[in-house]
Formats: sequence, C-alpha cells, structure tokens
Amino acid sequence: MELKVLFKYTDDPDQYKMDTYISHGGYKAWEKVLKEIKPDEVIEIVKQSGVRGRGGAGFPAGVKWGFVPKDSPKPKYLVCNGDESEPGTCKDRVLMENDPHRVVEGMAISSYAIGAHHAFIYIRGEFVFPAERMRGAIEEAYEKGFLGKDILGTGYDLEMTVHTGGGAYICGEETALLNSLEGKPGMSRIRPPFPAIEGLYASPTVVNNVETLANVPEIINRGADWYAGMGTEKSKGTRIFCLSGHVKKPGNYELELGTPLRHLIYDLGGGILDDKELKAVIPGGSSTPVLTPDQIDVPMDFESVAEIGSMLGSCGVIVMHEDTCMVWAATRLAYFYMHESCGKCTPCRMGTQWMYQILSRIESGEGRPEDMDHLLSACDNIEGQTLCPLGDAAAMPVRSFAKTFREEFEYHIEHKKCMVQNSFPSFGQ
Amino acid sequence: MILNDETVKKIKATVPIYPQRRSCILPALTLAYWQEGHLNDDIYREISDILDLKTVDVASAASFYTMFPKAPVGKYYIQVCHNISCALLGADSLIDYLAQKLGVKLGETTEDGLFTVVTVECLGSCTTAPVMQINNDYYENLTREKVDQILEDLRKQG
Amino acid sequence: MSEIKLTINGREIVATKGMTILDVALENGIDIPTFCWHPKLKTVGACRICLVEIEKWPKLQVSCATDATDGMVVFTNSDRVVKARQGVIEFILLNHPLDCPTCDKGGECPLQNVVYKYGIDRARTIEPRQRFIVNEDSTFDDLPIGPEIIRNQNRCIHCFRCTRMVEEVFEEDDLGSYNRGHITEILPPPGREIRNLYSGNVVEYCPVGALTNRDFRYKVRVWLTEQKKTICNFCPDGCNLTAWTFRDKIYRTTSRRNDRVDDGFICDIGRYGYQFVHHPDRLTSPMIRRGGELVECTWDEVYDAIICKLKSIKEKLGPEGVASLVGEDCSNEDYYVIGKFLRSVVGSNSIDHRLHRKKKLSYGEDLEKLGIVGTNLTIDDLESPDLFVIVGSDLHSENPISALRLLKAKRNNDARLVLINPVPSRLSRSGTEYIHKCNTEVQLITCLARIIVREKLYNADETGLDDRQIEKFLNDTDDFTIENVSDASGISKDDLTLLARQIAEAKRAVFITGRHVSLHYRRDMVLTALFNLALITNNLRGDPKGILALRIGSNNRGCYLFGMRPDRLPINRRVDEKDSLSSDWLTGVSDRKGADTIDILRQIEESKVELTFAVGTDPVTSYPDYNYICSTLTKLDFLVVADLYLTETAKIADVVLPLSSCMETSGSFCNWEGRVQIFEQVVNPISLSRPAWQIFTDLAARLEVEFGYKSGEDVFNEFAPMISGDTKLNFRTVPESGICVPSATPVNRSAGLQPVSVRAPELDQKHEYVLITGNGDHHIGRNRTTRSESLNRFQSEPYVGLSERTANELALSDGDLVKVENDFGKIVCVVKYIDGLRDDVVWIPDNFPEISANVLKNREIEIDMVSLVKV
Ligand SMILES: Cc1cc2nc3c(=O)[nH]c(=O)nc-3n(C[C@H](O)[C@H](O)[C@H](O)COP(=O)(O)O)c2cc1C
Ligand code: SF4
Ligand code: FES
Repeated sequence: MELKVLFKYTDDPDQYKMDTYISHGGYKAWEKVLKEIKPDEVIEIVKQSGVRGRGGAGFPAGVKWGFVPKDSPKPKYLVCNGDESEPGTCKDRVLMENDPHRVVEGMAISSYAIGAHHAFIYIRGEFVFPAERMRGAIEEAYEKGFLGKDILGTGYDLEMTVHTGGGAYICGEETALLNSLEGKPGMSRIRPPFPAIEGLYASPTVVNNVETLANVPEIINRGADWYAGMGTEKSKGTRIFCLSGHVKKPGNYELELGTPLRHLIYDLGGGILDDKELKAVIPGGSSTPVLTPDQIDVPMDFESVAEIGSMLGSCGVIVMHEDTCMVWAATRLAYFYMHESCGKCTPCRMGTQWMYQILSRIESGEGRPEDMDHLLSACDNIEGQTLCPLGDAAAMPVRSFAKTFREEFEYHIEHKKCMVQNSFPSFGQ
Repeated sequence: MILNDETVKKIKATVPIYPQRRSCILPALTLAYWQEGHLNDDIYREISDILDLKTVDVASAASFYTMFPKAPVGKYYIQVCHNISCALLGADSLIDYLAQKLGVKLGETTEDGLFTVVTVECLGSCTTAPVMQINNDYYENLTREKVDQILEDLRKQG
Repeated sequence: MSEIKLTINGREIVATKGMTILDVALENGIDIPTFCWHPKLKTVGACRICLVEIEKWPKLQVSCATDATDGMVVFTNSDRVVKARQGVIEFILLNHPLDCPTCDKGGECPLQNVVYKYGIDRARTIEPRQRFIVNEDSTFDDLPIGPEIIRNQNRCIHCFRCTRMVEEVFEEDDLGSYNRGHITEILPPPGREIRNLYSGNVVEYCPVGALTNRDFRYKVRVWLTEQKKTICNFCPDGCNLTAWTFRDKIYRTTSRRNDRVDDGFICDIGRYGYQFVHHPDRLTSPMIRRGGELVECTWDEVYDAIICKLKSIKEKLGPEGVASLVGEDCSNEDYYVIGKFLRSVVGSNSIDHRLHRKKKLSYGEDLEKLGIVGTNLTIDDLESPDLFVIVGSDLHSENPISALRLLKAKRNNDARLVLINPVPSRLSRSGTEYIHKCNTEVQLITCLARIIVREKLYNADETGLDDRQIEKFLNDTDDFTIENVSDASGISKDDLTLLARQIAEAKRAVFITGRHVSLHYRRDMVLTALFNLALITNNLRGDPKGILALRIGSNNRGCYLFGMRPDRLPINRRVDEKDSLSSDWLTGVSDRKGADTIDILRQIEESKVELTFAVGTDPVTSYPDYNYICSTLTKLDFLVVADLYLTETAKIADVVLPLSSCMETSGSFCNWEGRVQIFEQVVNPISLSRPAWQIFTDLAARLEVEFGYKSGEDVFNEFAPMISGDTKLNFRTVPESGICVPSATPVNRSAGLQPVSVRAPELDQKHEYVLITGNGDHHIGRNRTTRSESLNRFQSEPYVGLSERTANELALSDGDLVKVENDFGKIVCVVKYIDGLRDDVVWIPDNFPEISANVLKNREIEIDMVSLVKV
C-alpha cells in the first residue's frame, strides 16, 4: 500500500508553483518555525521524529544537526544533496521537479535549526530541468519573502543557491560534494574533521539528502509523534522506492518503511516482466548486496534488510529476471565504479580497475580458475580500507554477485560463455 | 574570445553568489558548455581570466567532470544510459540501433554535424528506462518508434 | 599540552595529545610505511599504506590521520595490517611498471623500499599495465613537462605530493591533476610548463620515478655516489644541501632538510646552480699579462709577480697603496684570511665589499644607532607574524626560501602579505601588491604612519610615544599629507588608508625590505621612515623584531662578520676596538680606518692606490658606473683578479688567479640571520684553481708570515672561538643548527621618532624612463647561474622589460629590438612585456653576459634615467 506523504501532491501538475504549494499548506511550517520555535527545539522535534537520512547511510537527521557547534565564529552552511547518482535511484528528481517548494521549505527549516544563513542545493549536472524548477521555486520564495534578508520580519536571513554538478557519481558523497561545491575536483576528504565541524569552506556544514529534508515541513506541521507513528520501531516514516528493471510497472512508490519487498515487486510493480522468473533483486541502489527470490519477504526497513546481509541504501530496487547473466551484471556495475572512482585513494582507484579487469576477462571468456579468489581478495582489500565509502560501494555488489551466483561465474570461466544468455527487450530489428 | 558577451555576463553574475570565488568554476564551465557544446583549453583560460582564478584550477576541475565533452560534438549530443537499469531494458540494443540508424560509431559525429552518440553512466531516471539525454533534455521510456520520432523531429529542426 | 600513554606493538609509549599515531611511531623508531604523507604537507590520508590496527576499532585506520589517544592499543604489524598493506602494494603494482633497472629513482625509491620490505614475492595481476603513451616505440613514456622536469605518468602512484606541494606550499599554479580515477594524470595547465622557482622539489618529493629531472637522470646510479654536506650560496637564505658526487664530479644537489633554515625545500637555483662548478669556462691556470696579452703561467710566477709589485708599491706609497675589493659570495674563511693578510701582513685597512653603491649612498651609520642594520630575526620568526609589509623587494627571487615562510605563516595563521614595490614581484600572487611611482618610499611609509597617528590607531602607553613627540612628528612631516603622497606615489587615498589600518590592526607586523631599498639612493631614510612606522605600531617590542632589512649577496652577512670593510675587524669590531679581540695577528693592525670603495677608487685616480686585489668580484659589470670603473681600474699599476672565470674585470687585470669555488674547499657561510653554517669539501679544486684563503695564505708565506692553514677547516677553527665565545668549538663540533651570531646592534626603541625628509632626487630631465634592474627568472648574480645549463633552460636570453602600453606607444611588440640609451651608454636588446610594470619604468634583468645595465648608470646620478628608441 502506498502511503503518500512526500508524494501527496506530486501528481498535481501545478504543485511546483508557489500558489499551489501554499494552497496545499505550504510554508506554514516555515512560518511557524520562524515565529514560534527556537532552533534547538526544531532540532529536538526532528530528533524525536526519528527521521533518518535518505541518502544512503540512514543517519538520524536531528542528531546530525545537533553536531554543529553552537559557539563556532565561522558561518554555518546547509547543503542539500541532490546529486542522485546511485544507479537504480531516481526519487529526488521527482521531488525537485514536481514539488520543489517542499525541498526549499525543508532546507529553510534545517538552515534555521543549525544557524546557517546560506543554504546550497547541489544537483547533478544532468538534471537541468529539476535544477530549473528548483531555481524557479527559490526565486518565488525570495519574492514572497520566505528567503532573503529579514525573513517575515523575524530578523533571520537566509540565502539559497542552486549549484549543479558536472557528471560525477562521487559528488554524491558528502565530502566530495563539498569539494565540488568549492570548485575543486570532486575528490573525497579524509574524516575527521567531519563536515559538521569543518565542511564547506572549512566551516560547520550539514549535508542532507533531498528526500530527508523534504520530510521536515510535514514533521513540523504534524508533529514528531505523527511521523514516528509511521514505519517500524527504528525506521520511521515513509520512503520512496524506485522500482526498476524487469518489472511490469516500474516507478517510484512511496511506502511506509517495513513494507515487504514482495509487495513492492509483485503488487505495486505488477510482477516480473513477461511473467518470467525472478532471479535477483538489488534492494537499495547498485552498491547494495544483491538478494535472491527467497529473500524478498524481507520488510523494507534499515534493520531488516541489514539482517539479511544487504542494505536499504537509497531504496533503488533493481529487479532482474531469469534471463539475466549475473557475470554480465556484475561487470556492468564494476565498470561503473571504476569509471566513477575519484582516484584519490589507492584501494578504490586501483581496486575498482582490477575488479573490472578480472570481471571483463571472465565475461569475455578469458577467465582463469584463480580469478574468483583474486576477485574476492580484491574486495577484501578494498572494503573498509578506502578513504570514503565509494570503495565499499564498489566492492559490495561484486562480492555479493560473486558469492551468491558463484556457479555462474565458474561456469563462465570453465565454458567461456554465459550460463544464462541475456535476453532483454530489444530495439531495432 | 570564444565565450560570448551573454555567457561572460552570466559567469560574472555568479561571483557574488558564492562566499569564495573558486566555487564559480563549475557554474562557469556549465555556462560555457551550454554555449559551445563542449569545453577546451582556450575556454579554461578565458574562464580563469573572467573569474581571476588559476587556469590550473579551472582545467583540472573541468577534466574531472565527464558531463562536458572536451572536443566538438554534434549539435545534438545523444547520451544513452548504459547502466544496469537501462541495460536490463535494452539499452545496449538501443545504442546499436542509434549507431546503425545514424551510421556512426560511438563517440563519432554524423557527417551533417547533427548527432553524436555516446554512452553515459546512470542518468538518474531508472524507473523510466531506457533513457537518453540529448543536450539538456531527457527522453524516457524509449521505444523504437519514439527514437525514430525524436531523431526525425531533431533533423527537422536542423 | 597534555601527556597521553598508549601502546604500540606491546610497547608502552608516552606521547603528547594532538600527535597522530604516525607521529608517535616515527618518534619512537617504529616503522610505518607512508607515501602520500609528508611532514611538510597537509595530511590527506589517501594512499592507505600506513594502515594500522587499533584495538576495539572495527576498521583499520590510517596512522597518518588518526590521533593517538590515551589508552589506545595499536598494532602496526599484525596479520591484518600486513595483509592490508600487501593489498595496497598489490594495487599499486597493478599499474606501476616494474622497470626499476631503467628507472632513475632506482636505489632511492620509497616504493621500491616498501615493496622490498613488505611486498609479496608473486604477482597475481596478469593484466597488461596501463600506459600513458607518449612513445609508441618504447615503454619509456617520458614527457617533458617543464624545462627541467620529465614526467613518466606510468610510474605515478597518485600520492599527489607534487600537486599539493605546488599549490599549498609554493602557491604556484603550474602543476595540477587531470581526469579522475586510474586515468588521473599530473600535468601543467594547458599550454604551459612547470617552471616555478621551486619546481625541482617535486622531483625530490615524488616517491617514485614519475618525476625526474633532466639534470640528473640517467647520468649516474645513486648508490655509486658519495654525499657531502654543503650550504647553498646563491642567496643569503643559506639552505642546507647535499651534494652527490661520483669520481670527483658533482651530479646533483638536493635539500638536506634543516627545519630551522630551509624547512625542507630548496629553490631551483640552489638545486641546479652547482653546474657552474664544472663549466668549461672555469679558469684552469693562473695568467699573467705579457706583451699586453694574458698568458697562462705557474702559480710561482704569479705569486712572484704579485709579491714583487706589493713590495715596490708599499715602499713607494706605504701600505695604503694596496687595497682590496671582495665579492659577497666567498666563504667566511676567505674573508678572514684576506682581512688578516691585508691588515696584518700588508698593513692596509682599505678593503670593502660594498660595490653596488652609488657615490652618495651612505653606509648606514645612523641606522646602526637605531639598531636596524643587522637582523634581529631568525627565519623561524617569520612564521609567527600576522602581517608582512614588504617594501622594495622581490623576496621571491631574492630570498626564495624565506619567502616560503611567509606563505607558511599565511597558511597557518592567516597572515596577510602586503607588498609596496616599484616593480611587480612574483610574491604578489600571494598578497596584495601596490606598485608605486619610483622613489616615493619615504613619503609613502611616513604617510602611513601619519594616518595611523591621526586616526589614533596607535597605543600611546605601549609605544611610549608622548603627545609632544607625536605632535612634532606630525608637524615635521606635514608635507606628507595623504593627498600629496597619493599624488606623488600614484597609490590611491583609499588604498593608503586601508593599508594604514591593516598595519595598525595587525597583532604583529614585520616590515621586510630588499634589493630596491638596499640599493636605493636614500636607503637610510627609507629605513628610518620604517623605523618610525614600526615604532608607532609597536612592532619593535619583544620578538620577533619588526624590521628586516635584507641585502643581496649570499654571504653579505659574512662580509660584515669578518670585517670586509675599512672600519671593521672580525666580529664586526671597529678597527679601534681591536683589543677586545684576543688574536695575535691583530696587534700590529692599524687603528685608522682604511678607504671604502668610493675612496679606493678615488685614490686610484689620484695614484694613491696602485695595487688592488679584486677577489670574487666583477666590478666592471656590477659597479653602477661602467665608464668610471673601467677607466679607474685601468689606471692601476697592478690589478690582481681572483675569480672562477675570465670576467670582464679579469680581462683588464695584470694577473688572474683561478679561484676554487666553495664546492672545492671546506668552510662556512653566514646566512642573513647571522647563522654560521659549515660546508664540507665536495670535490677537489678544478684544474689548478685554489681557494682564496689558500692564495692569501701562500702570499703571506712568501712575505715570511706563516698562517699555517692547510684547509678551510683550519681557518674556521681559528675564528670559531671568536664568533661563538666557546673556546672548544671547532669545525667538527658545530651543531646542525650552526652558530648564531647575534646582531651587532640591538633595536633602539628609546631613540624615539626620527626626523624624515625627502630631498628631491636630481633627475635627469632629458630621459623619461626610470631604469630598474633585478633578477631574471631562475638567476641570481651574473657569473654563476648563467653557467648552469639547467638554469639557462628556464631563461638564458637578456631582455628589456616594458609595460605593454609603453611598448605600444613606441610601436614595439614583444620580441622587437629596442635601444635603451642615455648620456652614458646604450643597450640594444629585445623587448618583453611585463604585466603590471609602470609605464615610466624600464626593467632589465641584470644577469646575462650579453648586456650589462651598468653602462647606463652613473655613480653621481641618483636615479638612472633612460630613453627608448625602436631599432
Ligand atoms: C559514493 C557515494 C555516493 C553517494 N551519493 C549520494 C547521492 O547521490 N545522494 C545523496 O543524497 N547521498 C549520497 N551519498 C550519501 C552522502 O554521502 C551523505 O551521506 C548524504 O547526502 C547525507 O544525507 P542524509 O543523511 O540525509 O542521507 C553518497 C555516498 C557515497 C559514499
Ligand atoms: S607524480 Fe609522483 S609525486 Fe606526483 S602524484 Fe605521482 S607519484 Fe605522487
Ligand atoms: S601515508 Fe597515511 S594514507 Fe598515505
């Protein structure tokens, strides 16, 4: 069952306009916060709501805001992460395109809570249209006096800027994003210092995902308890699941956390394309370990998915049917991570290259028996040992494909061809 | 000068937005790309002059980001997603189809200078796969008929 | 600072809070390999070779970026660590070619060492190594990326030390990283080369053979070389160098990191300058003039000739008939022995090293009273101020490594750099530069002081300045109103006010002057004005002292210290204070001041001096009056020139003595701080050359005075107790930090505000451009750096620098020939546009043998003016 909180109005073609947004109760939370709630109390409410980061790691948003030092003489910044580049994920785009004011309002409230007077939203460069919608919304908000100097006469100032990227998955990683926003190549930074202490321009900075922040206005309007009433004990609220791949009805579905994966794939997604057999599901974006059909009754919340060895990640659910070669799939992902490694740290830069080299050899029929060991050992030497989690993101899927579908890899090595021939919808002749 | 007055004006307008000037690099590169369709060393030098920044910083940043072609491409820069979700729904055959229909290999530009086809990583539109981006616009849920129509329309526009 | 206890590999270690695990390990001799980490660069924690295991931490951590904490239990060699480290090595070797036998870094390669120590002996990677193809026919993908630097990207392990160093430490912009992931490559920006003054450091810091230099590559294997400790003597910074020799030939010099002095960096001049030693131009034999020609002869013959002349001239004119001019690049030992010879054996005090001064330039007696002649700062002191005001200096080319300390202060304590210069300087990249109209320094500085006083931005109590003094100062300087000075200097009123406020606000400002002030016709007044400004802003209190007047000439301080002046003995004692020095040879020395350069030259004209020694100096090209110096020196009965090459002065000498360079003897130099640092003999003297100390020891012996020195070391041992006050100190026991000889005169704050005045310079009205000279790119001085092939690769051609506008007005373009002329002479040379140069200035680098700007100078004229004509 879909539970539309964020998506309540996304189907309204005029929702992106200020008037429509206001007619749907927009900017009430912002006004209330400015006039009635102290920044600390906002943080407290968000903590109480239990909302966790929607960018991938699932860190409680309120707690993160609380890390920003109050006594720092430096300016503070809020950065909204709209880089959305994890394969399988395309939820933030919908929010930015169809309900941009919700994102603006969420950013504004969050900025206020942490004491920031300049907020940025970093949108991947390819998202020209979503960025335009966000710019439009921000412009309208300035006109209405929701942004700018002395907002609604409260003395609080806030500037908001849309910043677009240039095609680099790594810029979704928060420290790389900050470097990119500073005009540098998007290479990640060592932590500590964490962004909350030394982030953008070496000042305290909070980085939150678009979807995370979009939740904030409703939390303020309807209260932390209301929000915490949705979802499971530790995974509160709803999430937008991006269902793609071999399903009949792919799309973005907003569901209460804890909804079984099967429901998403079979009931909402209409089942597997061409009524074939399900073979594998990636539950949380391409970097999360792959699941098999026997695991799809898992409730989709942070804890339950972790329990079966994968991650909820960014909720990009990628479905693969029986006619999908797993070696091919792993190779495709390995190529992606090699292409996207920033190159700063050794294990990620070289490990992703080596993994891809081994996999593409296996795929093209030149695999050798020891390759499987080498592949897994490369994963060992990457995971947990890179500068930022991109290394993990690259190694996890490779390891899980190689372990879960080991016989397919071995078949490939031995027979120099696929055990399962890819059979996908095709174009042209 | 490669960058025209309007682009230069827009680039300069980004300066007051950011607390530090180096942040203007990516917006400037984007504006230059929108004007020229690609980037090159001369453009980096112009941008560094306009913003009074080091050329090395501009060039090094530009080279990191793969969205900007670093050499001239066709008027319509067709970027086909070949990542997993799109591939599962036939991106590879879409690419073959495009290449064949336009009579070019990947990365090449058609003789009339209209089209260049390249593959790109996930475009963030997985639920509407297969997807391609032409210049700034997304084309989703592609089918053969749609692709034919799109190309025809673009050809007509010239 | 609080103490913490931790355990590394089972060993209890006490450390200080704030240290990283790596710091603690290094301090305690525990080996952890590193690649990206370097003590002089910000930590990035990227290469991951330094991973360690920490008890209770789930993941391995990089020791370079993890703080040690109390109670931490660390393992640097556990199975997990070893496995991870081998993993990193395996990853690096995926692409790094195993071409060690043909790699220039072989034998001194950190990667090779780490693989050797921690690597695995079998390769699991079978993929062909990735290449950045430059050369299809061979695997040597060498790409020259600068005059000296060759890049082989295949070997790069992406530690980014090179690019980080160029950006962070040098604030230069000629190296960057491009692309991303495994195809990341290191390159200069498009269309450019890496050619900054510090570029050679990237080769030294690169942990593999990805960056090598033309100078050294493929010439000799490092393990065959011997290393000698030496000191750079191209500028007064005194960086510590290691000279690498093989079969009595120097193959390179590298930094011998001394954190107190050079902080681990050397400039390219220090790195490649040594090539002058083996240059074919070196004099190979003594020469004597016979039948009008200089012909080679034996040492005995020249010595006999000199002694013979010496005796006859002394008989005829008395000891004062003999004088000596010395250059500023000789060793302390040379100065000591020259002084000893001239004063005690010959009996003349007519000796001077100050050859760049015009006739009316004072020698700074007044400044001595104010205590701003010597230096009251150390290089380390340059790290603490929050404001540097640099007046009349291209610190970057004059003191390249000290300049880096300013950038360090900028990095670490947000120090601000302000430059007030008549011509643009490279350091302007890191600060704000105000280019003023020539010769308005006194007005400018005084005006700044007036603004501070008038805006009441000074602290009367702390500075001890009472109202009466202030009132008087304002009255005395009422010409220097902001309006007047803005008009005169060309710096806007707003800028003047801003600058004054910045100076007043600084917690600790240091004022640094350099070449342009040192050679300024009103040097003393400029420095006096600065004294006032520093006093008003309370920057003369405590340490570091507020004024640093730097001079050109690498061992200029050694000249001071060893009395290369007519009025001074060693340790800067006045000639009438000789009793305070307990040295036998001083007993007979005359109490009377000898002649200084100007007087020596006059006495030559008057035939009161007939024999002159010119040691390590080339007055014909460096004295600011070509016509006068030539005609005067030719009047001498006997001119003895000792030098490395047949200089212009040597060409008119009666005898020429081949001098050994400082690489060919042992000895010491004194850097600008007053730090005496020793150097070892690196190679044997070239051909028949001899060091100056030896030549004068030999000459003394022929006059029956035995100095008894067999080496520079012997000379050092004689004066070491004098300069250190430690009777036991000798060449072998000098500490790494050298011996710091304090400034002769302490800063005299109680002198109060000094009167300042400007006397309008006598301007030559016929010519419209002011001539200013300085260092060309990668060169210092005239004779040595231009004989380094490497340095000539950066720049080898002279030029005349003009603003683009001036050039255009004369219908000249970059590269056209121009004639620069005045009543005294002319130069014809190519034009080069200089960004930021004033339109009324002609700038000529004074390094290249083809042209010598002193033909345009006249010692009577305060400001050199020239005209320009297109040819
Ligand atoms: C390689 C990598 C890519 C990431 N990409 C994104 C992204 O596209 N969008 C996003 O919101 N977070 C992304 N993240 C997570 C961010 O680093 C960060 O945790 C997040 O923006 C924080 O916001 P949240 O707490 O609201 O989730 C990525 C992380 C990694 C390691
Ligand atoms: S060239 Fe050398 S110093 Fe520079 S990144 Fe590569 S290995 Fe490091
Ligand atoms: S030395 Fe610590 S990560 Fe490179």
